[in-house]
Amino acid sequence: MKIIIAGQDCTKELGGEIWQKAAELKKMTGRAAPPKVSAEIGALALHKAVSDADYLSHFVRLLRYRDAFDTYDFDIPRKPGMVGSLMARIKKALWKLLRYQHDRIAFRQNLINGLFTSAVEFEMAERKRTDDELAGRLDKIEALLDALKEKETP
Amino acid sequence: MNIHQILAGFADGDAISGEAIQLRKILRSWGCASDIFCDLARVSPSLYDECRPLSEYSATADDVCLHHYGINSPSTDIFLASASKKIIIYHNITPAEYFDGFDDTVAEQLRAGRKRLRDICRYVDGVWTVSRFNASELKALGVENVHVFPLLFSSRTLEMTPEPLIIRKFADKLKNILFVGRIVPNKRIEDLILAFAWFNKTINPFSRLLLVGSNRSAPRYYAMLRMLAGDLDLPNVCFEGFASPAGLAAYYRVADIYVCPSIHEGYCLPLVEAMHSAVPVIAREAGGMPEAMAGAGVMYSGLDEVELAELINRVLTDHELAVKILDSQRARMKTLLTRKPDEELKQLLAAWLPSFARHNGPREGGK
Repeated sequence: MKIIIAGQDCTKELGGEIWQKAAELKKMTGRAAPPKVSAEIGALALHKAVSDADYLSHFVRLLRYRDAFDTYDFDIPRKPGMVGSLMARIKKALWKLLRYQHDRIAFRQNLINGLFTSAVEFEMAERKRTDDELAGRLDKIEALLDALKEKETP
Repeated sequence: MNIHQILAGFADGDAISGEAIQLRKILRSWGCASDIFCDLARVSPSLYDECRPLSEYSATADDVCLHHYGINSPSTDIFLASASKKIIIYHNITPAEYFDGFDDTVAEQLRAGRKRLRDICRYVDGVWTVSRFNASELKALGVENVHVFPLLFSSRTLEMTPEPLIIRKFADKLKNILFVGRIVPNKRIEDLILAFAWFNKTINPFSRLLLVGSNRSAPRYYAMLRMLAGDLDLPNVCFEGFASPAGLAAYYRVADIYVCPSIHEGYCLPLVEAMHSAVPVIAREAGGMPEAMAGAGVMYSGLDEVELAELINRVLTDHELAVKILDSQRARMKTLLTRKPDEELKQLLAAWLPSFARHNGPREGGK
C-alpha cells in the first residue's frame, strides 16, 4: 500500500488507519455489505475470455443467470433524524402498497427476458451447427481436391 | 512553411484531437500553413469542418508533417510515404493484452502499432512524446533523441457555461464520485465500481458514481461493467456516455471527488481537467499519471477495493486534508497555465529543422 498526498508519502500516517477501517468493513455481512456473487458466474469472469468468440460464449452463459429480477424487500436508505425516519416509513408503505403491481410487472418482464435469452442460445446453437456442417463439407472438398492432385501427379 | 498534422482519428473530447487543434492554432499564429488530415470515416461529424480528408494530403520536401501515433492505422503509411520532413508524436500505445477478449480487432491494431514503433521512430526526422513515461518506453526500444513536450491543456472548454440539465440532475445532496475517460479495459473501471460498492453500501448510501466517457470503444468491456453494477445491486452507478464540452464542465461542477483507477495512461488529461475544476483528485500511481499530477492531489498504489473506498471517504470527510489537496492542485494548475507552449514548440521544432530555426528563431533582444 502506498498513499501520496500533495507530493508527500503519507502511507505511514494514513495507511494504517485506512487498512484498519477497511478490515472492519470487510467483516460486515448480509445486506450491510455489497452482494457476493460467485467468481465463476460473476461479471468479472468475462476477463477470462481470450477472444471475441470466447467472450460471447461466456457472456451468454452469464446472461442465463441474470435474465430475471426479483422483487424481494430491500433496504431503503434513510437519513438520520425525524424527517429521515418519516420519509423511510412513507417509502416502505408505498413499497408495500405497490408490491402486487410490481410482482405482476416483474413476472411479465422476466418471462420476456427469459425468452430472449433462450432465443440467443438457440441462435448460437444453430450457428454452431451450421458452422460445423460447413466445416465438414469443406474438409470433404479439400480431401477430394488432394486426391485429384495425387491422381494428376505422374 | 507548411506544417501539417496527420491523425488516425479525430474526435470531440479526445485528448490527441484537442492537442492537434491547439498545435494548429500555434502554427497558424506563426504564419505557417497548417491543416489536420484524417480519414473522414474516423472523424466525429461535429469536427468535419476542422479537418481535411487524408486522401487530400500531399507534401513537398520543404514541408513538415507531424503524425500523432497511438495505434496502427493507414494514416501511418501515408505519413511514412510523405516527401516532407517527418516528426512523430508518440501518445503511447495501450498494451494489447488489455483488449484481448474484449476486442480482437483493436488488440491486433495495438499489437501491430507497438511492433512497428521502433522502425517508425528510426525512419523519421524527429520524435517527441507527451510524457517522460512515453519517452522511457521509446528509450527502452533503443530510440534516441526523444524529446518530451507535455500534452497541451486548454481550459477554454471547461470554462463554458455548464449544461444546465446535468447540473439540475446531479447537483443534489448525494456525494458524486466522478470518473472521466473512454470506457476501455486499461482504465480498470471495475476497480472503481467495486470500491464504490463498498462506499455506497457500508459508508455512505447517499452517493453516486458518475462514469463519463464514450462507451463505444470497447462495447464488450462496457457490457461487463454494466453486468458488474447489476451484480452489486448499484443503481447509483451512472454510465453517462460521451459528454459535450458543456456537459463535461457540468460533470466537473457537480463532482465532489474525481477518482482514476487506470492502470495504463500515457498522460491522462482528465486529471488536469479535474484539478482545474477544483475537484479533489485520487489517481493510481501508474503510467504517465504521476507526471500529470506532478505532486498534486492523491496518488495511490496497492490498495484493494475496500481500502480505496475508505480513502475516498477520508478525502470526502476530512476538511483539512481536502484543503491540503486542493492547495496542491491549485499550485499545479498555476504552473500549467503559465506554460508558454508556443516558445517550447518553437525550440522543439528548431532542434530538428534548421530552415525553421532560420525563419522563426529567437528574435534579437529577446530572451
